Amino acid sequence: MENKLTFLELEQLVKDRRYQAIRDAFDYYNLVDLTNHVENLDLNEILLLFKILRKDITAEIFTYLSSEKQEDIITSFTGPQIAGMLENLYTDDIVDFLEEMPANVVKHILTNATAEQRAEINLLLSYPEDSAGSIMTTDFVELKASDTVKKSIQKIKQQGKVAETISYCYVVDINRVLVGSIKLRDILFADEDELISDLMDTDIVCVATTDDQEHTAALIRKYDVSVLPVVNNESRLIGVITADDIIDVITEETTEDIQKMAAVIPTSDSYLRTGVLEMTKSRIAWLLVLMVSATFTGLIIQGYEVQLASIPALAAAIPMIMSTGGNAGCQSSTMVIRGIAIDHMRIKDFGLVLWKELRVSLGIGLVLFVVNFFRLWIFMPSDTLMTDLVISLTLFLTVILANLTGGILPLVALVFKQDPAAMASPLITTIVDALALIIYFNLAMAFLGNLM
Amino acid sequence: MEPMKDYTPQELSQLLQTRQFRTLREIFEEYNIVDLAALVDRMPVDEITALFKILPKDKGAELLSYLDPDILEDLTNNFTVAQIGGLLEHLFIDDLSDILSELPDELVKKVLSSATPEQRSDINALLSYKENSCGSIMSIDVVTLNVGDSVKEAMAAIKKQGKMAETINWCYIVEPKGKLIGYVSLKDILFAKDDAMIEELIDYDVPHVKTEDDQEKAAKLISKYDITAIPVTDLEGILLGIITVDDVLDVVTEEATEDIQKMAAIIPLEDSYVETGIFPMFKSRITWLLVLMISATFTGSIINANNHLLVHITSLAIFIPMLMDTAGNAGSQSSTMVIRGIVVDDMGVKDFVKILWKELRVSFLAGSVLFIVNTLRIGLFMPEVGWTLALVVSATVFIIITLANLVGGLLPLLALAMKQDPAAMASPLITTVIDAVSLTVYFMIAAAVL
Repeated sequence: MENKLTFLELEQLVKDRRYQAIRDAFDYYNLVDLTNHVENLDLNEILLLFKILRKDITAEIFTYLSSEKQEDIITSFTGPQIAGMLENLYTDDIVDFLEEMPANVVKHILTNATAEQRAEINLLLSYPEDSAGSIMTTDFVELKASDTVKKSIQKIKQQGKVAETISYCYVVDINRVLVGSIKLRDILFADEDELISDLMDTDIVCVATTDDQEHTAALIRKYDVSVLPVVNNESRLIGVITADDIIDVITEETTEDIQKMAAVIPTSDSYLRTGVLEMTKSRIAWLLVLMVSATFTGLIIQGYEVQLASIPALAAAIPMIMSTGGNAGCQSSTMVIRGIAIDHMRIKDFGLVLWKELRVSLGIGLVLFVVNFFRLWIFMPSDTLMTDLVISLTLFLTVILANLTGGILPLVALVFKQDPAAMASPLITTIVDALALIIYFNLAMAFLGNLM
Repeated sequence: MEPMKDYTPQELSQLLQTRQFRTLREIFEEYNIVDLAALVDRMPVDEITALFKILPKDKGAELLSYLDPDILEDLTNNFTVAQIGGLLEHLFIDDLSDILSELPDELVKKVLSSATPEQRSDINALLSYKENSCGSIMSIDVVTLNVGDSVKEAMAAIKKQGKMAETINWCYIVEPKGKLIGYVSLKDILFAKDDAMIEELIDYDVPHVKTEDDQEKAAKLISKYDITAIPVTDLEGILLGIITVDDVLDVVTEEATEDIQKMAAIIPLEDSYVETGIFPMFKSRITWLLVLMISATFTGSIINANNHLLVHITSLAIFIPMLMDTAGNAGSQSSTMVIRGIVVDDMGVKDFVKILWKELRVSFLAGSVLFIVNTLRIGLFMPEVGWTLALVVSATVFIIITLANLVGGLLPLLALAMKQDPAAMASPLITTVIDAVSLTVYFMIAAAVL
C-alpha cells in the first residue's frame, strides 16, 4: 500500500488506451491521490477517462478537482452526461462547486438536473454564506419512531446508498419534526423486532439552518458527535452536517481570524491562487488607514521637536518603546481574541481580564524596566542615567497600557457587535503608539527639563 | 438549540438527598451526558461520589470522561478500588488515558491497580507515546476483519467487537500477524449480499499514520481524504489503533491556537486564558518581549549614528513611527499569508519564486498607492514639513513596503528550509528586522537628497 501510481504511469495508461488497467487502477488506489494526477492531465484525456470509468467514481473525482478543471469539464459535457454526473453527487458537493461556477455554467447545469435535485440545490443555495444551512447535506437516513429494527435496516439499505453518512439515523414524526436520533450501531446490535422508539435518544443536540457555522463547529466539538442534525424554525429536519465538513470550517475560520488579526481583509482563495490585484486589495485598506492615522504620532513628535533636538538620545529610543508596546499589546489581544473564539469569553469577563492583565503587565513591566535600564547603561554610555531612567519608566508604563488596551479592546468590540479579531495588533499598536509618545515626552520634560 | 435548561445542580442534589434514585437514573438516561457533566461539575464532591453509586456503570464511566479534571482528582480519592474497577470496564481506553494524564501519580497508581492486566498494558502503551503524537490520541478499540471472511462472518465479528470499539463505520483488514492491508466501510458490508466475500469489498490503498507521527498529520489526512477515521500503525505496518474525526477536531483547534500564539510572540500555553495563572502567563510572554526589546538596540544605534541628520533636519524624526508601523504591518500581512499557506495549503520552498514574484507585484501596487496618499497626507496635514521631505518619506515608504513584503514572505520559507517552525518567524521577529532595514533606508535617502 506504500507504492502509489505515479502521474507518468497514469498518463501512459491513458495514452495507450489500456481501459481495463485504468479501471483496475481507479478501483485499487485512493481517489484523492489519483485526482491530483487527473488534475494535470489534458482536458481530452480527462474526458476520455470520464467516459470509461464508472459514474460514481467519476463523480467522486470530479468533487476533488479544482474549480477551473470542473468548469472546463462541465462546459465540454453533453446534457445527459451532466445529468449522469449530478445523479452520483451529494447535494452539498453539487452546491459547493456551483458556487464557484460562472452564472451561464450554473444555468447549463441546473437545466440538466431533475426537478427534485433542482429544488434541493436551490434550497441550499438560498441560505446565507457561513450558515449551517449552507454547509449541510440533504442526503441522510430518516426513520419513524414506530419502525421496528428490521424495518429500519431495510430503510437504511434503501436510503443509505445516497446518504452521506449512515452512522447516525434521525427519527421524525408525521410532520417531519425531529424527535430523536439513533446510532447505526445501536440498531445493528438490537433484536429485529425491537422498536426504534425504545432505542432512540430523545435528548437531541441540533442546529438551526440559520445558525452560524462556527456555532455548529463548537457544538460538534463540545458533544463529541460526528454528525449534527439541522432543523428549520419549525423544528423540522432539513439536513445533517458531518464532522469532516467541520474540519474545513474550523480551518477556514481560523485563517480568517489570523488574517484579520494581521490587518488583512480575508481572501477567499489560497495564497497561490489569489491574484495580485485581489491580494493588493485585501492588504491596502488597512495599510492606508493605519498609515494615515500615524499622522497623530507624527503630530505628537512634531510638538516636541525642540526637546528631541536638545537630547538626541530621546529619539533613539522611540522605535524600541513603540515596538515593545506593540508586541505587548499584540500578545494580550491575541490571547483574549482566541479566548472569545474558543472558550466563550465575553464582556462578563471584563473584570477578570482587567485584573489579570494588570498583574501580568506589572511583572512584565518590571522585568523590562530593569533589563532596559542596564541595556542602555551598557550599550549607550553617552546617555545620562536620568535619560535611561526616563526611557525605562516610559517602557514600564507603555507595557501596562498596551496590555490593558490589548486585553480590553476585543471585549469592547464584542459589545458593539464588531468582530473582535479586527481589534488586533495593528489597530492597538496605533493607539498605544500615540499614548506611549505622550507619556514619553511628558516624563522627559518633567525629569530632563533642565537639559532642554 | 442547546438542550438542558430543565435542571440545575441544586435540583440534582435535591433529588439525591431525597433518595429519588429512579428519577435521577431516568434523567441520566434521557439528557445529553455532556450537559449533565457540566451540572455535576458544580455539585459537592461527596454528592458526586454518591451519585456514581446509584448510576449504572456505563453511564458513570461516560460521565467520568466529561468531568472537570480537578473534580476527577477528589473523586478518585473517594472511590474504592472495586468502584474504580467497575467504571474502568466501561471506559474507552483513550478516554481513560486522558483521565489518567490529568491525575497525580499516586492516584494513577490507584487506578492502574484496579485495571485488568490487559487494560493496564493498553493504558501504558498509550501513555508512553510522545505528547501530540498520533499514538497518544489514538483509541485501540478497533474492529478488525480477515481477508477470508464472508459478509455474514464479518457482521458477526462486528457485532462481537463493536460493543467496545470507538467506531464501527470502518473495519480494517489485517493479516494474521496484524499487518494492516486494507479497509472496508460498514456501509459497503451492509449493502452487500450475505454470501458475498469481504475480499471483494476491500480498499487496499489505505491512508494511515504511524504512532510517532504528529497528530497534525492525522488531522490533515482525515481532512484531505474526507474520511471519518484513520488507522494508526507502527513502523512495520502493524495496526495498533484508530483516530476518529471528533478526536481530530480538538487537535485542529489546539494547533490553530498554538500557531496564532506563536505568531503573536507568545510561547504557547496549555490552558485557556481564564484558567492560566499569572505566573505561567507572565513566562509565556516575557521571553520574546525581552529578546525583541534587546534587539531593538540596533534601531537605537542606527538613529544614534545618524544623529547629525536628525539635529540638522528635526522633522525627520516625525516620520519614524509611521515608517516603522507601516513596514511592520506590511511584513506582518505577507508573513501571515505565507505561514497560513504553508500550514493549510502545503506551500513549501518549491514555491519560493512564485512567492517572490507575487510579493514583488503586490508591493509595487500597494507601494504606489501608499506613496501617493502619503505625499498628499503630509502636504495637507503638515504643510510646514515641505514637499521635498514629503517625497523623501514617500519614497522610503515605497521601498520599505517592498522590503517588508519580501522579508515577510520569504522568511517563513527560510525557516521551513532550516526545519524550524514557520509560525515563529511571524510579525514580531520580522518587524524587528524590518525596523532596522527601514531606518537605514530612510536615513540613506534623506542624506542623499537633503
